[in-house]
Amino acid sequence: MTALEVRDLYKSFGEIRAVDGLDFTVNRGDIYGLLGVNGSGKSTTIRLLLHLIAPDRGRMVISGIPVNGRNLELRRKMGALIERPDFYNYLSAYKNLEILLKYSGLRPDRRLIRETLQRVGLEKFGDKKVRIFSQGMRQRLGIAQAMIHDPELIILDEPANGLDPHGMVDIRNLILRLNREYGKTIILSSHMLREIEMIANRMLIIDGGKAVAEGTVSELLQSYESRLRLQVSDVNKACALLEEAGYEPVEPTDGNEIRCRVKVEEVPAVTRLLVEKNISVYAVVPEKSLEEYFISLT
Amino acid sequence: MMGILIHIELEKLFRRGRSYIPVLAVLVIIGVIQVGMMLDGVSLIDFVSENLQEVFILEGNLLNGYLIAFISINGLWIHVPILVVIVTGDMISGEAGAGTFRMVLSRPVSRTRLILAKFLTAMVYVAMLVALLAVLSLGLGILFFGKGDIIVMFESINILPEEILMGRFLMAFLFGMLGMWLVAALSFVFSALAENSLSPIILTMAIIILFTIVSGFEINIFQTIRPYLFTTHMNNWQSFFDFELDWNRIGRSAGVLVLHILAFIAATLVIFRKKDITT
Amino acid sequence: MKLTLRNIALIFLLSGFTAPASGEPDPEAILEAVKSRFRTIVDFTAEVVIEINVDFINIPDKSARLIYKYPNKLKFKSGSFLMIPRKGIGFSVFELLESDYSAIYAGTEDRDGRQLDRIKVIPLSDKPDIVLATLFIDAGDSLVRYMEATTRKSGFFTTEFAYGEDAPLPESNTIRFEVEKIRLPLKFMGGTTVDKSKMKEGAVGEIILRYGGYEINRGLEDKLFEEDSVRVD
Repeated sequence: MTALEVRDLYKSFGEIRAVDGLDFTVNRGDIYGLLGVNGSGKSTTIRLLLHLIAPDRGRMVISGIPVNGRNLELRRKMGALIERPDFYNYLSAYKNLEILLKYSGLRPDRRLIRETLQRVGLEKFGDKKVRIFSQGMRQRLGIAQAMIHDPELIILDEPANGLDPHGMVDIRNLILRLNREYGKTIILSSHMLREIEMIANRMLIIDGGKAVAEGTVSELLQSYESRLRLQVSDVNKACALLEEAGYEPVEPTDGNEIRCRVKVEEVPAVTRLLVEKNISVYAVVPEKSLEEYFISLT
Repeated sequence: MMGILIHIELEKLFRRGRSYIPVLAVLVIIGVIQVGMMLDGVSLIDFVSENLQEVFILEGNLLNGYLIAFISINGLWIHVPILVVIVTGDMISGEAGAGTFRMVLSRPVSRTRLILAKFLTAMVYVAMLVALLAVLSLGLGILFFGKGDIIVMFESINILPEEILMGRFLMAFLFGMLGMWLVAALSFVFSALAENSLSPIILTMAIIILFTIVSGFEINIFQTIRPYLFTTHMNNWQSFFDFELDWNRIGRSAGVLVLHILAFIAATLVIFRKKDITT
Repeated sequence: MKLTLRNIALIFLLSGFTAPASGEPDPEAILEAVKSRFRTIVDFTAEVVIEINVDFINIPDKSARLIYKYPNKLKFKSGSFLMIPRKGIGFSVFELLESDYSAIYAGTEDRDGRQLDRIKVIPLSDKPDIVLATLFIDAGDSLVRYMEATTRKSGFFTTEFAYGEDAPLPESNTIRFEVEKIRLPLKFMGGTTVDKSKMKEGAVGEIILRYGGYEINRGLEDKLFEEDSVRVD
């Protein structure tokens, strides 16, 4: 079942084409990654989905309902954190969430607000004015406001911005829980590939407002030669064997490791080759992940 | 939903420190005027009535609360728009600049209703500010100086008797409030276009000052356009201090002000509904 | 002799007139009769309604209480604001007549169906503000019906008296005067929308005082006139 369908989407700001014929589909229950460098059109796409800006052309449908200025009820099914989370700084975190609940057409529920603050790790700061919050605290509050009204679709733009490693783990776990336990569909936009790779099941790579690749992580990486790191007993002999077999380039590193470029499906053959020539293989580690793939595309 | 939106806007407005700057300004200014009149009001009255006293003997309590209220309002009225615009000019652009529209408008909130709720809230704020001005200028004035007749120069020298003055003042304040609603509505137009607090304030005041200057110049072409300027009609709160009330004139001016308010709000809605929220 | 307005008037009149022709009424006698009639009034209080009709002044009719002691103590008391003309309050004629003056008979004139004696009165001292007054007296009842006066500081004015059952106290008097160049600090007291053309020279103002409820010769003490004392020149 489709949660979101985008077809032929265009948006320009003056002469700058920010979104250039974007097509993609998000299924219900996906954690869908939007990958792109700064200025690639991710945030513009998100603003278009929320009708904060109007498209020049194109169609967006969420849960079967077209996205336009009139279908306000659609926004009740969506929650979003867009770029830097901005709040009413002169109000407390609690008050901000209370007001946003009211804007969502819901009664402010003291228990719900407190629970939401707890889920994002801000239970002790609910009564403090947002003015004094750190960037990380604002980010947590931003995620809180995106999910407090129990939307079906949650859009998070750079959710881990400003968070320390603990914070990142917390947020990652929260996203996974929202998806797996509560069945939320999540669109996760980031330039931090590791983050997307760890939790997204499908993704779209955007560059210059255009889609350059879409699919699952494994689908995208399958066709790409990744770099392999091998720990072997005899580095020189291993290098010679691999070069002879055509695996280029082969680089010895310090100690007993070598790097070579192979496709995923060729890894067993490489291992077998070395073992048959009496070279012990202690470890086989795919060194690269999405990063090189992404850079190669963009 | 409209009620909820207005409630939210009122809450945001009255929890914000900036909203109390005009209130404080009114308190201080009226206080200073009252003290000044207490210390030197008699010589002001003597100065004003000096030449009249060559022909007439003036008996009675001229230095009374009504007269002081009239002097206060007359002097302040050019400045009250600034106090209004400090708050209302920021009501849309402030949120745009602060980035809070991203959160608000990603909720099921109609842009039209949001702007209307903001304007109704602005109207409440303006009404409160004008009421404060009325209570302070009249209330403190009557408390310290008592009641009496007033001399007002408006097309003639009018001596208005004490018995009718409270009613006249209340009507003048109500009319003045209409004028300030217009100022708020004008500031909304610029606020919808801007993404910072300062531009709407400066632009609104620039328009008001320009129109006021044009109204005041005794040049033919300016006098021709004068009846069409809203500042001309805003000043007709003074008509309530004419000897006989000219309801035609008052009604006409009120109608012009209302039309301007509706036009400015309509313009604000058109701008805001089409606006891309990029901040 | 100083060439003052008063002295010029005196020279002019004396040059035209030598002695009353035989058969002409004696102005002194007429004035004495007027004074005698009024001297029966030592003091009085009255309710007065003041109506002001000046082109550029709008003021509702005002009520006040008037207290008077012959010849020149006068005070208005009111709970509200009053504008009282300095000139021409009816009783100022008696201050004039109680000072040193020279009177000249100037014939008769018919006004409002009465034949009135015209007497020119020139004060001989500099104390009164009036430099020349023409009194129109009904010799039949020794009442001043009209007065035309020229003053040092406030120009020319006329006063008309009407009498009822309280004569010699008037029922009303109507004062007419020229409104000259009243300079007003307009910006201070309101808008600048006063029509200044109405304040040009030659605009005429009129004040009507209507008296009633006279209480006569109650023995008013001088101290009643001392607080916020108002002198009418």
